[in-house]
Amino acid sequence: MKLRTFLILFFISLFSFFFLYQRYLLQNPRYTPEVDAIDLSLLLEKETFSDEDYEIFYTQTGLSKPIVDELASQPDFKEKMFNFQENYLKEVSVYSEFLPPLTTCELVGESSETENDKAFTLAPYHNGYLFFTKSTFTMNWRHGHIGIVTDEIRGITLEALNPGSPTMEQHVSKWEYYPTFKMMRLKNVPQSTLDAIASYATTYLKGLPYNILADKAQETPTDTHCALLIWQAFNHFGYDLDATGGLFVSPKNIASSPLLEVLQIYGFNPNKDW
Amino acid sequence: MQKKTLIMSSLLCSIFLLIAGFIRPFNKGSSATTTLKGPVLIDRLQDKPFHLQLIYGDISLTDIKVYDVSPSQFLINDVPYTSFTEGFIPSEKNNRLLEAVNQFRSLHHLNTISYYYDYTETAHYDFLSLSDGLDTLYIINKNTGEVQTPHFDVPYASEKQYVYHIKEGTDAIYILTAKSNSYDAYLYRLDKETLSITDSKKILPSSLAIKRHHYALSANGTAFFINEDSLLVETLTKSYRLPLPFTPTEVYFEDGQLYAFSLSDFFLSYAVLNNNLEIVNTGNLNLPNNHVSLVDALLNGTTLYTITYDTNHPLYRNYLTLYNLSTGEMIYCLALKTSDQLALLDANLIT
Repeated sequence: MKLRTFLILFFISLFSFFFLYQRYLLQNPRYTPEVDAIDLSLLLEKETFSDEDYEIFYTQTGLSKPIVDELASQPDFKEKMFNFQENYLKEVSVYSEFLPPLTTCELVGESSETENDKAFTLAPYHNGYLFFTKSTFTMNWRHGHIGIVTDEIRGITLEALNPGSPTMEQHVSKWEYYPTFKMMRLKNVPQSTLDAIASYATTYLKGLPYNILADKAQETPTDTHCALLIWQAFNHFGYDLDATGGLFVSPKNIASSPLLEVLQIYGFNPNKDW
Repeated sequence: MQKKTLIMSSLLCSIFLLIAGFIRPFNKGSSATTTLKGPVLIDRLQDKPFHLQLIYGDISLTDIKVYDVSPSQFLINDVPYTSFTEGFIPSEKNNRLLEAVNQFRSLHHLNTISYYYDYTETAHYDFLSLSDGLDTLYIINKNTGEVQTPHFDVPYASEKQYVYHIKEGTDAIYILTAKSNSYDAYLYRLDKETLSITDSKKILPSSLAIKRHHYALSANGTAFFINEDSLLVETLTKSYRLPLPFTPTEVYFEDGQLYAFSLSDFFLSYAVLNNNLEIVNTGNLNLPNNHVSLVDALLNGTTLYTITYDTNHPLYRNYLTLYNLSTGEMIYCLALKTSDQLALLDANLIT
């Protein structure tokens, strides 16, 4: 085969694959629960819940046992659960937005010409909890984004947002606009440990410059990106959240960590880590 | 020949991928700016002018657009803006202030910063604050450019706290902060001559008072916090409750008057209090539509400006509404469409 012909065919194939795969990514922005809504009224009347009950709550609301138990101790428990169920199961439309230089972000909205819609409501959260979204990708890599709660009372997270901006405090409410969301926390540790991790993050990891190529080998954190920020905070306390090892870490690597447990999902497949 | 082909293919493939990475996805919605301004639904201004800036941003606050709005115009403002946690600032001013602060930090052997939690200004000072205590509250003299931080020996002034309000009085500056991870608030009196904290107080507002718009501060150092059917009023020496006809969700102190608001699904309840904290006006203001939420509220004399977000958005996503608080009347309402997937996040009054 002549070189010219080969190159032409090669690039046509590559080009086609690239854009077809991107189209696939954009048409599969989130997981829609494949269950019908059931009436939770009777279940919510129970004084104690079985494992089966918690499983039903999870498939109907995206909330796991620790969150259900926390909500059960609050006023308006039933109304809140009904709201979570409604938000979790409703169909939403998603549009994408280009974030210079290379990233695309997905948001909930009725069309590409409407403003951001509030997609869901955050479940109760505490310091050290992790917020994930899959709804950002660069070129064809759906890398997602992650932040850590650093002020549970004032509703503040610490995040490394994008190239050109340092790690900074953000209001938690913005997460409710993403079409995919997962809340996780470290398993089997007291809240005081999570408080300490959040405090360390806000004291030592705030204001760090963003560097997508920053890696885990830094002795003292000097630059970071969204997943590395989280890894650096937890690693300082001896918790390696990178499920796959290696020099680099991504939100997916952290979401897959066996050290973490799921608290709330929205738009994430309940049977997958990512 | 085969090796050459492989090398050439790899090189061209790499170049192609780099170029493709800069090409926006074909699936992206239209990025062309559409007309933001919708219809003027109500105009009873009677030639009373106003001038606002509306600030739009994307969710990562990378793409920020500012519009200058008056009764006769709606134009994009080309001045670039930068975000900080609590708002937006012209990039030129941001860079200038950061440069001054970083020079100061450098002299004190501290690393440079490129981010801060909040910015505010008074007649004679610009203030940049981080959330790491009052030793990271930078006071920049507008006349001399000198940068200082407050001098204090109060232990809790070093704790992590968010500077919510700063007001400049005749011989003192008052600072109202919210403690991090706590419901506590702190009120400080800063002597203008020495920039030393001469008095301070720890306050415990109700758990309703969390965000900045749940707190207010007067130029004589009176702090206000939203409370159940009332406001909690705190000075450095006194504390009491001020009953209101509703539970407020927002409180503001502007031009010697105190304003409290409560937004429900159908109207905006308001109370205006004078210098003696007596209610001089109260009532319910009509909303541009049911089920709107408040994005921002601004006061200029007796005129209230609100930016609301329509959660049902049948036609328009945002509204700019003006009210005459003396009469309780809506005097202007402009419907706003959306553009470029940006959200209307903030507004500034241009006086």
